[in-house]
Amino acid sequence: MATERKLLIAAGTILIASMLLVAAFALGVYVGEHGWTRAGLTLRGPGGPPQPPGGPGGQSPPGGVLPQPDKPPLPDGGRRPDLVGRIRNIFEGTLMLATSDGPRTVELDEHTRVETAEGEPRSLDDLERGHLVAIFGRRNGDGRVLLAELLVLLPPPERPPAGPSGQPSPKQP
Amino acid sequence: MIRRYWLDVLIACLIFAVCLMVYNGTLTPSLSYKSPDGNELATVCYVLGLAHSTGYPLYTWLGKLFTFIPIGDVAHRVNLMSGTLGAAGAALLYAILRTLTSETSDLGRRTSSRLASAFAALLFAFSLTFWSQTGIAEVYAPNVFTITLTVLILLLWARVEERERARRLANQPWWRVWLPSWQSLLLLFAFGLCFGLSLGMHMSDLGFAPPFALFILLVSWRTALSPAGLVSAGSGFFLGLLQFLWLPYKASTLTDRMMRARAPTTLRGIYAYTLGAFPQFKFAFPITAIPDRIVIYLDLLRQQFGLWGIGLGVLGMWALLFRKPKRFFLVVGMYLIHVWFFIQYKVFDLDVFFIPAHLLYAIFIGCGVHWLIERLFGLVGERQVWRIVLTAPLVVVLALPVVSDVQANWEANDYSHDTVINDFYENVFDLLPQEAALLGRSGVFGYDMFYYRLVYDVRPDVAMPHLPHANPRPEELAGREIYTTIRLDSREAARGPWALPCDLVSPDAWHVPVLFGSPGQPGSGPGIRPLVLYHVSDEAPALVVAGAAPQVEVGEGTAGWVLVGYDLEEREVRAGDTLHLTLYWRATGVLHRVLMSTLLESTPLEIHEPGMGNLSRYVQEFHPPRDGILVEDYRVVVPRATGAGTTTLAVGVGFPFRLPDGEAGWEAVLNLGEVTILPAE
Repeated sequence: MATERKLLIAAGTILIASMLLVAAFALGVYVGEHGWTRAGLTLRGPGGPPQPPGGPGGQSPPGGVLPQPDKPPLPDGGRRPDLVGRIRNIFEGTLMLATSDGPRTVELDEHTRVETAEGEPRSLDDLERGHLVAIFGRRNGDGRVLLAELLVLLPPPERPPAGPSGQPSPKQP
Repeated sequence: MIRRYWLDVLIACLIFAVCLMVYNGTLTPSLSYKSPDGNELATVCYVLGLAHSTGYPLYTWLGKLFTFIPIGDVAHRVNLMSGTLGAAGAALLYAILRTLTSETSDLGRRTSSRLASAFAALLFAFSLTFWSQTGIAEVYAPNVFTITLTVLILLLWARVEERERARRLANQPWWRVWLPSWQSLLLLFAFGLCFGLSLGMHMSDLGFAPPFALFILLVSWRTALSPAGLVSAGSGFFLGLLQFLWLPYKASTLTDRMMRARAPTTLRGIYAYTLGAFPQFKFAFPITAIPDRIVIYLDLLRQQFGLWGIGLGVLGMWALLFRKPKRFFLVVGMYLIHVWFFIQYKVFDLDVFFIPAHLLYAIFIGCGVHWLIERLFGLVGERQVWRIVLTAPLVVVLALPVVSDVQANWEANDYSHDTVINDFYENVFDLLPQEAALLGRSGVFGYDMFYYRLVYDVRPDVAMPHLPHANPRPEELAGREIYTTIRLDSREAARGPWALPCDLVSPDAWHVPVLFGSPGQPGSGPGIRPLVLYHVSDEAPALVVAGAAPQVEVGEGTAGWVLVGYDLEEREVRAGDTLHLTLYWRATGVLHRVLMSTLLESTPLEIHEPGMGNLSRYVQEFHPPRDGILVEDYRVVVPRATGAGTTTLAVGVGFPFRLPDGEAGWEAVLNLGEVTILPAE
């Protein structure tokens, strides 16, 4: 084998080994920090500016607040919830939700408010596995975790309309 | 040459045809929000304008050629360019892998090389992210074509150079080894030209320069450093770079505020528009964040090829290193530089930036599969019969992951029913009165609207004062009825790159939604946004009335709202047209936090808040009676893709949700009866 070839193979071996080492190290750091979850996998990454309501480049649904001033408005000018999901697990200070995008982790703190959909206050102790909840919150300092500011307990959903049997009554003369 | 490689040419053509067929089946029919820039790129190609940074001159010119194809509308044709060049890129990937995995006349080895090359090319072609870019107007699929073409030419040059040099060293006088052959020089020129041109597809390709240079030096430092070699590669590259003269030539056509601020009219401006563009995105993470970023990349890689694919790639690295170490350094160099740069890139659509890295990883996978097949063939020795017998089941085994990929990724990448923008804007232009003014997002993000004016000159009587420049004055709206697709009194209108001047309309003006397009589904793309047409008026809408006599009474409610009844203009509507609906609500008891939505079956046609954003102000200014009736009068677009037939119209109340177990819906659903959908025209 030519010397040049041997050198190239030796250098390549070191390179591949280094790549594997870096990948294993990064994976180890990640798992140590987030566990075997996808919590840290945000494409924009930590520290990014908040995305516009309704998604990147999006806007809120047209709306402001509910009509009566004595009723609590939708948080942040009527934006959609940051997450809607069903509670899978409740740990101390942490909620695990099942959402359409997979499991999501939500942090809770002493400022997290819990309310029913009617706006009645509840406490964190009222949360149970299986509850459907809407989360309004903000990303914490490094952007990795959603910190819940308001958690709205949603009532059990109704089924979608079921065809002709659900016809409304025509207007009576 | 063709006769020698006829089977490879045939296989490459087959790969191209299969990919193009699939891509064409999932192609977006026109405009789309799948990409934040796609609508701008489609329009710029047609008008031969200047796209946002980094200008993309080659993309613009090739796109213009595609706009002459008489299929669909202009946007569809530019989308088709992504599909065509993406398929061509997959075919070229096959050719690259063939050059990397076989240079022998042994039948068995050629078979294993062809199998592995075709497998890796198709695996990449139908990987999640690359496929997603082949159906929309974007630069990433065409960029794969230019990268693969550049690399293939470089590999062909290396083959010619190594063959020629061996011959020259053996038979020629010593000084001849310093003179490259004309074939070598021609290929170097072609390589330089393709590399220079590829920067007009994506500027990040420039990062491949160091591994390219290293590879050329490793293959033949004499040719690389010879005046003839330097001039050939350099002149080709320089010729490719000349495309960027397009930037100052077309700088005056820019409408985007951010782009005009660094217009490429000077050398400094050209630098800021190209290499210096988006400095806030580059190297945006501290070193402590790098492990997370690497894992994000690994996760994206896993989404493309699975864990088994990653394993095969590692195997392929070793195989390539031991078989062809110089070529290994070319591929791994390109790969590492690309990954290193983009793991530190801070954008929300990061996944598409890794497509070249996925392409390079597919090369490793191909090499790994080739090594495995060779080992398998080695088990049966030199007996050609057994090798041929083994080939049939191997084809099946290799086809399985590819077919599985197509099945798994089809739904996510099938944009053939995405008519959201066209459905909305066609109805907008039908609805607008004569001599109205239409406002919306400015600059790059406004091309969903500008497309119709710049390409088809739709409704020339309607003024779009934010099209020629991003800072229209109130005088330009004088005497016109004003409509807008963003609330001009919202935070969104006042900030962001698409913002309009805050004094454009009176701060006291009412924004009354008159037409709703699709609310957009989560995950539908980074550019997705609700589509609403507002009428801007100094007069308040009759939002709350003392009494109402709806056509149909309902009397059902939930979450504090009772739907008294509704008016529906027609129960028969053509897909792509609008339903005109008036809902009459009465507030009772405790009001929930809710959104409301018009539902066709369970599909939301729009989502709004009670009163559509005007109720709070209305209550404060007019103090309507508490038992008054809230009137919501609006049109909503029925998507063109809606199937013909009878279906249920309803109103959802609550927060929309969808769970992994398939459960989806609203807190409450109020039935409005049936409507008949006629087929789209």
